[in-house]
Amino acid sequence: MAIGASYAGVRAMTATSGGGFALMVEGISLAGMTETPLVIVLGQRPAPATGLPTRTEQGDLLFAINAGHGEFSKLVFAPADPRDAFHKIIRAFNLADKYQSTAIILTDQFLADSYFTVEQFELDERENRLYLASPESITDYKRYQLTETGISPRLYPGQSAHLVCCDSDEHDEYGHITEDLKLRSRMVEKRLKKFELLRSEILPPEEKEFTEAKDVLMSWGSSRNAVFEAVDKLNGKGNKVGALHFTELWPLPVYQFPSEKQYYLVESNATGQLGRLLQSAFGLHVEGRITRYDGLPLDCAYIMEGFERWSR
Amino acid sequence: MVAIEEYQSDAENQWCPGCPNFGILSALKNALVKLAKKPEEICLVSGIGQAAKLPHYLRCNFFNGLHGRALPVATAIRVVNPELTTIVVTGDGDCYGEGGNHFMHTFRRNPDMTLIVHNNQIYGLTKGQASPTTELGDRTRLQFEGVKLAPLQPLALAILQGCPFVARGFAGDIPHLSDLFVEAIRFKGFSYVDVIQPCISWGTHPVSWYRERIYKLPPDYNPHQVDGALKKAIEWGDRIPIGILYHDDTPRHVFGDYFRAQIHDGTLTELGFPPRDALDELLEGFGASKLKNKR
Repeated sequence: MAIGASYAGVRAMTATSGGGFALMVEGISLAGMTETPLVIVLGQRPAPATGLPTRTEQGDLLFAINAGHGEFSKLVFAPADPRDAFHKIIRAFNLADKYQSTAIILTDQFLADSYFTVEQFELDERENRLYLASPESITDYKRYQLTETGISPRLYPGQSAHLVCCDSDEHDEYGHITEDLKLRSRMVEKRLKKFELLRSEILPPEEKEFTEAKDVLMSWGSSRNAVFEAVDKLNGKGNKVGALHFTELWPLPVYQFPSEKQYYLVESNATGQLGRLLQSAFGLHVEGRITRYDGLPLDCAYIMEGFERWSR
Repeated sequence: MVAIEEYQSDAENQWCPGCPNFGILSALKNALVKLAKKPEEICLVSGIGQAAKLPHYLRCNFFNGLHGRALPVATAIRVVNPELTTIVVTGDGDCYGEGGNHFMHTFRRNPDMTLIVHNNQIYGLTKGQASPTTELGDRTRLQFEGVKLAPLQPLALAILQGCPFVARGFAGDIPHLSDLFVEAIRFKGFSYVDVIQPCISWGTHPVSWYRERIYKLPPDYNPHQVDGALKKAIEWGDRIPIGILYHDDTPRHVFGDYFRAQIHDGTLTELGFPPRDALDELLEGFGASKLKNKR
């Protein structure tokens, strides 16, 4: 329904959790093929299957990044706290519209179900646009026109006399089914080309006490505040610890990892999914892992204890 | 006035020569001419299958999506834009098999749109496996010893689930089918037309088998009664009725109307982004400003 609403010309979002998300993953592929903007909030809980459905985990990072059969561009963000979530979702909508792609917001039960006391959010986003084409400037409308950037002019049905035709099959520039195999290759390249541009918009990880640090804790999503608190406390005990916190995870930001530091993962999952991602993309060596997968959120004491065990 | 030529599509047709799908396509074009709908005022939504290719062969807006999942896409399109004539074109496999869940719940939602099911009682695109409406005992390319499962009764299911407009047509009677489509599209609420469309390549009966059995509901048939309609919905075998089986014109909730009454009476695309002060007011509704003032 969210894809239909977006095709019809309004912003659309859907929110779900592991099982529901897994069930509807074919829709992500559909949005990818039809280049329909879509925002999905995925509240992670301990899985597989029903797992611990009232508790928390960060177990779906690699699943979210790879969700949907086939190869196409998408975005994955993981906000750090309610304030970050507020701004990130506006950013996700704008980028989804600009690149006609799916944006997944990874939260978790801890972030979604906790109460926070926060100062009023400021609406500092200057731009809120659907990035629609202007019907008057078009004579022969092609929904999937091949362009330099891979981004085609988007109109919605009923907006003008131009017809908006979308197909989940491979299609020609007008949106009709095609078996033209040369065109197929160009359409694949078009859908992936957007990804390179998108990558240039991704924000680098947030650094804390980074320059001076010997050891760096790497984390993502809702654990930022716990990790940053642990950094302060560990440094108070004479360590030289810093943090690198990721909230924009796919496409991965352009980033240089200084080689003289030692990197540790802090993740609420068993296999260190951020580490696997960074290892494959940057060849980054991870010194140690502080992981938690008992359904409880990462907290300062847990992180400190984990770090001290590794650095002993 | 709209000329039928305006619906002429440039896309190459992939149906078998002589397929009754051509009859359904003609009937739909006739109905749209009669209703004077311009191509840009129409949105066809489909899933996967031979029927689902129809939107490529009728020049208009379309969204050809996933197997079995045309109805939720169409429901949303209709809620966003009540000025678009939204029609789902699907088949028995797509709608009654893969899309069974959506089929059932769309009756409850009652969106103001039309569902046309090309019912050929077989999976034609994949070369002749039994579909949910293949008859018990029929031999197919996969069910060599005959189908062992009783068929679904989609029309009866629709009537029981409160679908307010339920009809059956025949692809071999284009004038009658055109009239059914006109009535269905005009209906305010969810209208459903199951169209008997013999499959000339993989079907278990020849076209003549259907022609010999099909009859039009007589003028004195009362489509407003559930029990009578149910009887007609399951009548199959020696005689097969076509026409409007069930018609409930008592006012009822149409999906999206309540929302539209609360938010905006028109196309939601007209709304645009809310002004800055409206968003600030929304944020203050969370009590944030009180905290800020206290500081």
